Amino acid sequence: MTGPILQVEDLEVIYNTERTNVRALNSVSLEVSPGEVRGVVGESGCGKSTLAFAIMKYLDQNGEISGGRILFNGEDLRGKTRSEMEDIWGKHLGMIYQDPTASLNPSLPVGEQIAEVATAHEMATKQEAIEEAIDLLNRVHIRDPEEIIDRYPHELSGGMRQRVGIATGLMGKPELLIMDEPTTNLDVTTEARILDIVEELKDDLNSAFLYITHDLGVIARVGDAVEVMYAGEVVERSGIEELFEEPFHPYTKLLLRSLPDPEEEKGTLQDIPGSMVDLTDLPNGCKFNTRCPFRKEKCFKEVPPLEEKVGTHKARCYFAPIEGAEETVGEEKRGKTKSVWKEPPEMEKEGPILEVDDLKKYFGGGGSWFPGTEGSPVRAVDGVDLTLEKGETVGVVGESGCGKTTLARTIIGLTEATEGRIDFAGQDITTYVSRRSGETLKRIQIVFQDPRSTLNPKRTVGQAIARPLIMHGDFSRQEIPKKTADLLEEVGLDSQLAERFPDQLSGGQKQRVAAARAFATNPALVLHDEPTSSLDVSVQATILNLLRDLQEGSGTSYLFISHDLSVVRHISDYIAVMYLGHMVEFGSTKEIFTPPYHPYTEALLSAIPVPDPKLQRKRIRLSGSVPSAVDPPSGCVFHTRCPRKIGKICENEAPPERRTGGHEILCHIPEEELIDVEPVLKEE
Amino acid sequence: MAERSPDLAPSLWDRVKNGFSYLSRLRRKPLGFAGLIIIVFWILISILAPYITPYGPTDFSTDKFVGPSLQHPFGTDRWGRDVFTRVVVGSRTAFTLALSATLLGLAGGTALGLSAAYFGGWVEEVLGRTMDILMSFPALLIAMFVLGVLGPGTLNVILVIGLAHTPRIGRVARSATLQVKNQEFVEAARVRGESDLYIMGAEILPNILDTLGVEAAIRFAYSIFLSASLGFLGLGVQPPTADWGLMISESRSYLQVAPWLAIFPALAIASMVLGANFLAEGLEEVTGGEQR
Repeated sequence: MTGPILQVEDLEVIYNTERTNVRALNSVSLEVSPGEVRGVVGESGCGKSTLAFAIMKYLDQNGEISGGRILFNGEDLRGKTRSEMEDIWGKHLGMIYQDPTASLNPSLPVGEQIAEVATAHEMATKQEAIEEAIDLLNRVHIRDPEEIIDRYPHELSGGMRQRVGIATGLMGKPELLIMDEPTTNLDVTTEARILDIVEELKDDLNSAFLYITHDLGVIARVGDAVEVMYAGEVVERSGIEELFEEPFHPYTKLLLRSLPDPEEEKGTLQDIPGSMVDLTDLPNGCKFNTRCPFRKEKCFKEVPPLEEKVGTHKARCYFAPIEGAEETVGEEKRGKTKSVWKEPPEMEKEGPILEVDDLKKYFGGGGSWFPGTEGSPVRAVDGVDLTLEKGETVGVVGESGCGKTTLARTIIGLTEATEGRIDFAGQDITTYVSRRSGETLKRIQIVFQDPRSTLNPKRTVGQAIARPLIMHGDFSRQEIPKKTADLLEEVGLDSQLAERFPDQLSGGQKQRVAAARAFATNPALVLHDEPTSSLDVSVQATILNLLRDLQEGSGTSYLFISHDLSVVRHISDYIAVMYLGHMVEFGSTKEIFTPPYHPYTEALLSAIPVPDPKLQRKRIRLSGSVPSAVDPPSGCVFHTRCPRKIGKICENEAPPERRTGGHEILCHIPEEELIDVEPVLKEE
Repeated sequence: MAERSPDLAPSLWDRVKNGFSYLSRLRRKPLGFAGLIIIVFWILISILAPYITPYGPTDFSTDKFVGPSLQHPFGTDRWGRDVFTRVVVGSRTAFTLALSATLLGLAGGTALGLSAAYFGGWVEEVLGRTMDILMSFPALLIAMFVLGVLGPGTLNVILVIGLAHTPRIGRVARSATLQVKNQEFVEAARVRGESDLYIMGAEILPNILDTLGVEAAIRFAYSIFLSASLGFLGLGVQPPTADWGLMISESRSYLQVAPWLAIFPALAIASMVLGANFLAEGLEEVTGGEQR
């Protein structure tokens, strides 16, 4: 077949809210052809998901397609009734959702759900459909599909469920498959496998794909062409390599620069000034003019069209492609923040700030009234050693369930260690937070993950920051408003924000307030538990820069927890890699990213989505999913998934510590062999 | 910026403003708004009672069993007392009983439910099971039993109804607390070294007030109903006080000759119960809509 399967022309979508109408999509046009993966990228609020649901004609009740056409196979979907769409859904037009848990019916075996697509459209008998479902599960690399089809969704892991979701999407052999952030909730190693599957399917099926994501690294892996969206408009369209080689639109340019580059070490990130425009209050002219560092007078007067700049590479900007000049952006505006604290916190003693020795944290287990029926505990953290020097940052990475968050919670004292010892500035603090001295509480702070719940919605920003000052600071009542204002300014916020409630702030602003709250007591150690993982990339960059600046100004030590190796690389001096409660590798940032690697680190590195379509790297994929921490594998905990397992010894004996300098690797593979591998990330 | 001490929770004025913004949003919810109007109507009636009643509530006269007329809009009873006056004054009794009982139940239930959810473990088990046991008896049955022991009377009725509300409000408070207590701002307070009392009172309580407000409106409606029932059974307020339940009880023997004796107090009870329920419905929509 030739020609595009989907042509969207001047699509407009309006959401009717109680107060006003929000134009979520504004004259969006795009085409998708068979055998092509067309990416749609943008930050939250850009309209990318609205686009997907509009094409499916599955908008929320208050959403309305108010203009344009959606030509699918030459027919305009806009005029279709609900029952006509039911014939199209699944059979011709499939969709894969972000959350596989929500998109699968919890009370039906997965095989039946996949088969239902075919039987509902009377394309096959139930028997045939089940057989085809097994085929498809094979195709998405699910082992023993004959057995899996009888399982219920809750019996499968997240990655398996998403693969079932993909199989369901493929069942009707749709001409177009829309994928809405299908890997966003998954771990990187699982994500890498899903992306492999998408690539294979593209080659095998000649279907068309519309791939929606916020992650430029993901699109660099799977996309052929890409649409960049901002504030309900496509601002740039190009082939994948051209885009990453030379982005034309200022927004794309800045967005790419705000990503922490997994190939680069600690440094300052470029950020995008300002925040996403309010769709109910759009500026005149170009919608990016509120944040664009290259704006000129014309940008405020006229709306630029999406026009071809070089070949088919289009951008919605009068001045694109823009040469040079971008290095200065943001830098002079942000400047260096100075610490409100005149001097860095004086230490009681010389030596490390934090020493964790053979820390174990088990949950549950025991507790039964009947002997012999005690359950096994969940070994969330199972013997971790860690040393953190003054002013340094140790990053802790690992996939969900590796125990990194439990480690932080045990150090801060929200849960009590089962075994082992935590020393802070030479003092034993291995206990609940409520039993620690005021001085210790003051000196250890934490920044949490979720900006939506980190601040009490019923208290103003000023109250949130003032409270620790009142509790721990030595200030009189009169000094506190001033101090609060200083702290707000230190984290790059207007001191007027003190009067606001959290729901009047953006996610990035809330995380800044959380940082200000943590720094209010002049801490010696701040734990960061995924502080940027629910933020957009451009906001993430500003927060990471802020944390760096705060650290430079105060000499505070950080323990930085994240699932994202690129982020951790950016902020850390040392990195600890955790798997199933164990720290499998520890070393300086440089040592972690170059051989020798622990086999698990090697797989993680190979899985990171890198925003560079030309990057060549080793393909190491882990099979299966993380084993249960209730009954961890014997010997080396990684042996069940290890691609470099050397034999029985891995199953029977705990691995020795291979140590060169400060670099430690827990592995049975001899050191010479560990060193003797190619680096995972290297430029072509 | 106004020099406001930043350590206190939002000022009283903020709260009042916030309250009015809820009420103004109620205008878009027809049912809730209707409930609000009914309740405000009854509040005005009970405040203005002395000025709009033509007679005293216990004034006897020789006009017995007179049907509704201009002199006696709702007729008179067997002592010749004006039913209109007694219905109007009865609203004061109803408010006194229902508001006090609701507040009592709210205080007890919130304290129990909040601490049960916050502490968890055996505290939650003990409190939770106690509430379950209390709730497994019908409220009316418990009320009758307790009043049988303590004897009837206004104070005892308030105590008993408040007691009956406590486990129900407690359950609502508990589930609302469970949703809040693991949020990061609560953990931040623990990490800061705040006391349990502070965390419960200053961090969690303000965030469950919306839910508790809705529950209070429902409990208020139920209080009206329960106090009327107790009055009807003779266990509540004692004659000659003007009380709707008591009035219906006294009208029983004369239903055939003087139906107005029962109809007007019954309408009063029904309108106030409905009004409070509608208001609860509207409040739930308004506050729930904000959380989402």
